[in-house]
Amino acid sequence: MNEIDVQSVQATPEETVVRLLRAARANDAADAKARTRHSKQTDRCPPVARFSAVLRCGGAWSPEEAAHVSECKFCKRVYEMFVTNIAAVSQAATLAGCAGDTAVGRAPSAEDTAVEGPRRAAPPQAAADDTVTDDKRSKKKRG
Amino acid sequence: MDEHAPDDRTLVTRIAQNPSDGAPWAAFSERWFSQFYLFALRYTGRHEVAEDLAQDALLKVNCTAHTYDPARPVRAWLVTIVRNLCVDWWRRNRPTTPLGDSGDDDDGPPALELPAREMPPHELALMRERTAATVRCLDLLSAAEREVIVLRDLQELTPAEAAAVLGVPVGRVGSRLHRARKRLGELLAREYPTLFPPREL
Repeated sequence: MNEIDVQSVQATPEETVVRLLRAARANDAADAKARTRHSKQTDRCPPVARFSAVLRCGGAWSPEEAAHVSECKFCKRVYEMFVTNIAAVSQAATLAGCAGDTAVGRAPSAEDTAVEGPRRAAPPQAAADDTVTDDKRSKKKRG
Repeated sequence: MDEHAPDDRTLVTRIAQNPSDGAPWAAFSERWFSQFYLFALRYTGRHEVAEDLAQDALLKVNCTAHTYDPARPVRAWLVTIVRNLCVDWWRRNRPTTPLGDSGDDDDGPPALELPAREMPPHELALMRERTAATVRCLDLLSAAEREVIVLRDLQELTPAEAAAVLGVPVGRVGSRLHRARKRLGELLAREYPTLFPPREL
């Protein structure tokens, strides 16, 4: 049977859904091949590693980079996002110096991925609330 | 992936040691931008939002790589980052359009292109319609239902990896996935009865 044959009439409903999702995944895979960076990013935009060198490691833009970053909307946005991220990490007291504290003793928390200002990160177990609700609901049903 | 290319764990470790080193970063971002994007696209259903969230996820990896615990599955760690961003976005932008009204089509997921296997044109067209309907119905699921499908069926995370991302026991991932698929089937049958006859779903 064709892997993405979504017309089987003998499959269970769940199997049919799984086949449909496989077809969607096949689309995703094809789409992903062509998408290795933001569509607004150009060849002239410095890579994130350069932003890191300048914003985290005390480096400096080259004149060409400085001219571009000051004009490019995408780079301006990346710059703002980077500054916000650095501030969030600093606030979590995990960043120290250029390479940072390279200790890898703990997993990332939502604080690490938090965004300051109007964009606040979700608590670490954002979906856990839903899970609890789901579980309570199923228990009620079972009861 | 090139078998000689560093694996994700190695790349993240190298980024942690020197976040401004261009080589590991280039390899990592080329590999993971699309993964972040696809996760965010299926979570939010919006192309432009997904791109921005994927970019933000990359920046967060650069800024927090030093907090990665190598004892944890690296894919779960990475997906957790983009998932937190998606959850945050979802909370700020809960859809207010009524069920079945997908709103502005321009903001929706990109057009679907399926590999044109050996299939008659009418079957191919039907398959495309059904797959597109499936993706649209993902938007109608609750956030919890959608994300377990995205993690397991679309991102192909293992049950253990998905459990790590969601912060729930592995067994619960299975039960949530089953319920989410069932719900998706019900939505497809209700929203697209001509594409999905009752006997099928």
